[in-house]
Amino acid sequence: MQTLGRILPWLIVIAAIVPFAVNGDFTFHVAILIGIQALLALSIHLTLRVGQLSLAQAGFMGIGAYASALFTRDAGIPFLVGLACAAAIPALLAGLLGGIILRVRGVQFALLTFMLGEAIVLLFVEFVIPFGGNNGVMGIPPIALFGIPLDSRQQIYAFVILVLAVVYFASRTLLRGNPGIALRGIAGNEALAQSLGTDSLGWRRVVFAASAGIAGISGSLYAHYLGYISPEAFNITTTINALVMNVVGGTALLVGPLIGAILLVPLPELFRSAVLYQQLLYGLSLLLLVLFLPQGLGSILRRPRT
Amino acid sequence: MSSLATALAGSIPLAAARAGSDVLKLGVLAPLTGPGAPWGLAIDGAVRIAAKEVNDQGGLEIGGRRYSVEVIAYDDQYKAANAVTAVNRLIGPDDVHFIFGPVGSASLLAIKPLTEAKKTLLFTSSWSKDVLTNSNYIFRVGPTTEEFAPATIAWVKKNRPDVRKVATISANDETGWNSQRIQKQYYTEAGYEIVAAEHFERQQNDFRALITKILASNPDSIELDTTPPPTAGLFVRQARELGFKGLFTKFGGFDVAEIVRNAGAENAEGIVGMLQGDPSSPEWEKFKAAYAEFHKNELNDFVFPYYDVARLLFAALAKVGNTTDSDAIVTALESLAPFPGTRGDLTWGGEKAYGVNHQIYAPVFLVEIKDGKGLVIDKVDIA
Amino acid sequence: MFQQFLMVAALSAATYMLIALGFTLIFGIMRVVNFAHGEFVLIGAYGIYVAQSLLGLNYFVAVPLAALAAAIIGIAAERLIFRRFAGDELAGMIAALALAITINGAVTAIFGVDGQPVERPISGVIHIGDAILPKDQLFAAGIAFALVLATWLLLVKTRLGLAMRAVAQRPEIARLQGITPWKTFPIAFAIGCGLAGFAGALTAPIYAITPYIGEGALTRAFIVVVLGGLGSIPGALLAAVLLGAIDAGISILYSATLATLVSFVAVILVLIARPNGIFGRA
Repeated sequence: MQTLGRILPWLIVIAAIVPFAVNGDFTFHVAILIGIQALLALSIHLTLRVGQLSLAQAGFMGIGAYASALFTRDAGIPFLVGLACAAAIPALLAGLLGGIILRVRGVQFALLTFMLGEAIVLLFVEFVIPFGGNNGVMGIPPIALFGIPLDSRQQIYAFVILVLAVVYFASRTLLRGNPGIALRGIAGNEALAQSLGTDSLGWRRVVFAASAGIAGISGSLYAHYLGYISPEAFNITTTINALVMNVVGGTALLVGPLIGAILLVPLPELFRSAVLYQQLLYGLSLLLLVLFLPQGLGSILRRPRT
Repeated sequence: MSSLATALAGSIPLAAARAGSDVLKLGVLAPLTGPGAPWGLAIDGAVRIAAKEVNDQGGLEIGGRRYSVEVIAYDDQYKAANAVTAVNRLIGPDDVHFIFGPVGSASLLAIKPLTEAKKTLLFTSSWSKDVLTNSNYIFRVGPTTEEFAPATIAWVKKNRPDVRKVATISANDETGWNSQRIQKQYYTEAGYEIVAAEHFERQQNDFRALITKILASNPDSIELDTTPPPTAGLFVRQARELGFKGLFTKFGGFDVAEIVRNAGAENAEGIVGMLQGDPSSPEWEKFKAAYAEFHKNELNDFVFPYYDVARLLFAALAKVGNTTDSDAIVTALESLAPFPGTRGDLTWGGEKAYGVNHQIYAPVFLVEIKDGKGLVIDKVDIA
Repeated sequence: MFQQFLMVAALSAATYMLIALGFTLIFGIMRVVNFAHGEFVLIGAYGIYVAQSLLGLNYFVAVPLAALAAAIIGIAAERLIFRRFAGDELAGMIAALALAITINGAVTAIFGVDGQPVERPISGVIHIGDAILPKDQLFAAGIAFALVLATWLLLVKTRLGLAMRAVAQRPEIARLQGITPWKTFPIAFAIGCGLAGFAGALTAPIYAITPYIGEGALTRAFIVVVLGGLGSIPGALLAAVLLGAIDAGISILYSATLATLVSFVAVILVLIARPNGIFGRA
């Protein structure tokens, strides 16, 4: 089992290379979407690691998307700066709000963040200036590195994978290093950890902010790839899909959300002819998964770290 | 909770492969479910009717070869994000050069950069003013508010002289903002007072607060504009129950069956709207029979313009002699006016408003709902 | 106009009460966040369609039947799914989510994505002063308030209600007294989901029957319950009235979107001061 477990990350790497073998514009389109959704799923994963489920992640993704889109389109700033803003603004917001709302635990926190996410979407809908209301924002400039736009799907996909890899390893470092030890202490026994001097709220705020920043990055990539965004792309359904990716891929492993994204994003393409039953099958599969495999599919291959 | 990504309808190739080994693929991108479905299904039905007609005659003769016509349809559920994914499939792996639809303006504006870049011809009825501007390969198949409002409002002035104060509602999105802006402009120019102009969210079905607000301004008539017919019916019922006794006009997409079903025949009595086909004509009966082979819902007037334009496209392709030279096909389309359609001649126009003559003009019919049925009371030529 | 506002606010508040009450009851007794609650409202609405339009039953017979259907499905859900997650809030929530998707998928698969026609058994209006009160809204609001009162009486005046409240407050001590949670859980679900079913059945003739009504109902339930305090019944009722009034008022003065936004902001502000809601306990 252990060897199988060590193979898992390599399986992900192989999966990442597959689109280059299969080729075709549409293949890369789906692959890019997988990468973007994987980032969002990863952001939820981080909040789960500190024992709190944030349902506002799609809202943070939206903030990142709109910020990056409007700054680059209307203020002419370069894409990479836009990407940085897309990470920074939601992170700051989460850090600020976190001081208050992270005091609340469990489902209360989940419901609070649910409302936060919905409120963010309503802001995009209500304020036609500058967000364009229900119509959204069009004509978003493509991803460009140092002034050179990426004009082929292969290049865009490569960039998305690069960003995903960077975020993944940064998250792994956060969760493994000294901060990670502190976090595991908090997750294990918070009172004890606090008595030893760990600032529980402080660390949780950091992770919450980081998760919001990652969601924002996901949003920026989404906006600049599609060239068009509208408020409904960032509502609770998107967050729930990302949560389901975690449930399917495994909530104890950092690669879990990635597995979930690889499995779930292409699904509608496979079941295109059975559209009417798609949702029912999806729900039933999820129910069975939750009832019989609560650690997700990733747990089949690897025993979760305690 | 809606499921991941889009609900994409499977492609259903028509069974006419024996006609020829070459295939002309027509794409349909429209709301086939949810709000706007009556229009989307009408587009799908119209294209399939035209395709079947041609296939039954042995296929389309283009450049000396026989083509069988295949229809590939996708459901965008009136959402732009779904339209983008669907169009990626259509112009990518499906290799389609001609797309009919979409209906929603947001959908169209989202896919426009992609189709223009790939020189894909788009035949749409989307309402926004930005549909045709700065485009080469987009054609609008039916008149929008900009085209017909002066004529319809003139009709109201002549035939419903008691109306002085008008309230109007439309959906809170690109289509709705655009049509409401134009309605307000032409109503005001004709001397009416706009006492209320409101928007609602597309999925909304509770209009009590909105109606309370509107009725407080005492309108003589409420213009339902581009409100989707099922929603319009719901609104009419709730408004009548809250005491509105005035006139309802619907100068935007109309569907008698949907409105009556949702409003109740009694509440729907007297609503005046606009159709692109005459329900009492033999053509309507002919379409009804043909349409029933593909879809179970009632025939919608959108079938008329889309069927005509499909035939116009066939004629242009025959003239050019191939199916891939987009620029030549565009020129051929432009040269074919006036083209005999099912309600009269089709002509091109729109250069003044949009910079390009890709807006089709055709006659429209004014219809009043009486005893739960639509009665044609006038035919109007759009200049 | 003010009487009209009261009318609009009253029906909104009554509907919110019904939905939120069921939701908070289930949470209070089982600590389960029933993410599928909106879909039980949906079951109530489609139950009316099936009973009225397909089976030809009278509306006044169809309403309790639809609610009963919701209650029965609720009991089944409790037995088959939620029983296992009684202690684990987060896992229970995710299970509820899966159930929500399944119910919605089942309804869509059976009835299709488009709306269903509703027969409107009550029509006509009453005039009181300047206000016009549609009879169907009066009926719905009246029955809703009656159901809320009945539930409250059940919880406060009956032995069963006492048992349920005991389980909600101190499950271990309740067990010592001989009250088994395993008996109260299905009843809590039956009542909670039944109330949701009533909400769907009562409002179906006023609005429409589409597969999308679940999501809106759920969001409403969340916001009312979070404001009032998770698990608190007086909190849920008070919050329902407050939010019904805000909703109606701002919708009439401005727009429905702004009303929802203001509700959210108001709730977030209250929560900053009292993170567990008005009457909530940690």
